[in-house]
Amino acid sequence: MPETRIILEHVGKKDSGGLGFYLDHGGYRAALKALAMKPQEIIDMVKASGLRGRGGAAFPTGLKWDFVPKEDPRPRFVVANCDEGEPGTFKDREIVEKYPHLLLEGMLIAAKAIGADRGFIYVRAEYPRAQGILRAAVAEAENHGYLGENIKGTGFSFRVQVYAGGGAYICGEETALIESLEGKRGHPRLRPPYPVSHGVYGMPTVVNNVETLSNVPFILEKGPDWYRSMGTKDSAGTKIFTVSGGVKKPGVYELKFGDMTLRELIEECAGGVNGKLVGVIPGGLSTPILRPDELDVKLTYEDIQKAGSLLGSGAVIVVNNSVPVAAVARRSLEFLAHESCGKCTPCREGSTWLARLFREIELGKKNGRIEKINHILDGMRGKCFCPLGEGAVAVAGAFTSKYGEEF
Amino acid sequence: MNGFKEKIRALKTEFPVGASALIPAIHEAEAVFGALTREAAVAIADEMGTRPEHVEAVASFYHLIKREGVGKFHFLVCTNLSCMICGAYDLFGWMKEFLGVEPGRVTEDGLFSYEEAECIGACDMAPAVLLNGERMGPLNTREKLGQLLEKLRKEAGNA
Repeated sequence: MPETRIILEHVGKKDSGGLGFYLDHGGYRAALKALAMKPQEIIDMVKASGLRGRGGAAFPTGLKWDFVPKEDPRPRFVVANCDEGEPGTFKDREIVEKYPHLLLEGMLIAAKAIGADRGFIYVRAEYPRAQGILRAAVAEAENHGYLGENIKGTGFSFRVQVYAGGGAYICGEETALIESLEGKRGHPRLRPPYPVSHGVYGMPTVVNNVETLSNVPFILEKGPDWYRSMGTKDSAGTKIFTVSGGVKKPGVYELKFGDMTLRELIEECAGGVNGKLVGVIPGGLSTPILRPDELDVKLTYEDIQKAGSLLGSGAVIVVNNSVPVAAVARRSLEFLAHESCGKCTPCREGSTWLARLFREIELGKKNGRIEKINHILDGMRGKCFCPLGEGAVAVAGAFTSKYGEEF
Repeated sequence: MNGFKEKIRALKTEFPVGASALIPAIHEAEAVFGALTREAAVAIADEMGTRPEHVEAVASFYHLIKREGVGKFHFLVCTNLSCMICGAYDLFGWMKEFLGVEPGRVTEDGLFSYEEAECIGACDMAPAVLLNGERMGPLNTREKLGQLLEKLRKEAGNA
């Protein structure tokens, strides 16, 4: 089964980043259609499409938009989450660097749906090139009347600002992102209330991943039935996978959900494994590793969950025998310890101890370490403030239960 | 410093709430002074109506905000999973060997500095680095790194 390039169709073609190219290929048609629709009609279309958040949490997008209070005089905000810090993920980078107007159009449609007149694109500090490209694209769209005041004479106004982060993984979590956007340290907030009612400056806010928003123009243009015709009941549409690590052809691959198995993606798209296959992390560093005999799983949210992991952001990291698996475990936990914001004790202390114990295992001190790790996991499980700590529990647990013998 | 303060005031007006300008102001300090210096933190605090310690406290949360000056060519060497699998620790070792300084230090000629980084989103070119913010990779042999450093040295000499 080949790739199905919808979002990525024009990515990387000559001048694909410019407004002229975008308009020549049907750009902003969906937004103009949306600007003539009632907000609820847009929300209903996105709900009917089955689109789910592509950043990792897979929350239904239309439902999120529908949760924004309707009879509420407060200003609203649309935030595009381009923090893309999940190790192994570089899909949003491809979209914003090579086809930025697709994101802007998706944001404009979201703005009309929830009644926002301001939007932010939160871009991670590691992507200065993307920041520059997005700033230029926003200016270009404003100059041609696709953003700003009274867009194309419709009376609707929407202004977008690019906001550069400072280098903090946790700011990909939507409430930490909002704190950062307000000029603070990026600590996650207690939920509820959710950002849809109390987001940026305490105002109703929709935070969506870049890839999520990039799906929206296609749904508006071609309709929810077309969108649903791709994928499965619970995983509609296409997903962009980024394959990296021990493979021959690392890169970006867009597939209909369920068209391929994880093994086929690695073998057929990414050219196969370099060296000996040890395991695959299917959805970014924070998702549990799968063993080589667990890879015949269809690429859908539900199938990967059944296999005991998560589709996450679609970042497939192929682990080969170039490094000991204990080093992979140690490096994963070091990352999570490094990026733990320190707000809650189970995550801050637990992740640090886990990293240390995996380091000891890597150095050959194995006695009683697995037991200690399990003891720490009991102390963390269900007690962390946000998904970062719970992710650490799942990741560490998968390494010890699946690779205990190799350790 | 007056021009810098003026820029902060302008940044504040860009946001619905002025406090949002704090991180952009810190980035501006990095662009103008090479790092968030104490003087810059004081100036930002003045304009934002807060204390310099608050500015520094926010900055210290973010790993990539520079608190000290770096070399003319600053490398962030990713050692996260995909880069590690493709040889990032070798690359990190060569960096130290070629430059002769510890990570976080600047070479005597002021040209180079490097540090270990978390995923920079360049996993398709692993092992990868950010060189002054630009992605580069794969730097998977000693020779490639040597040639790159030589090229940068020449560039600096001609400038």
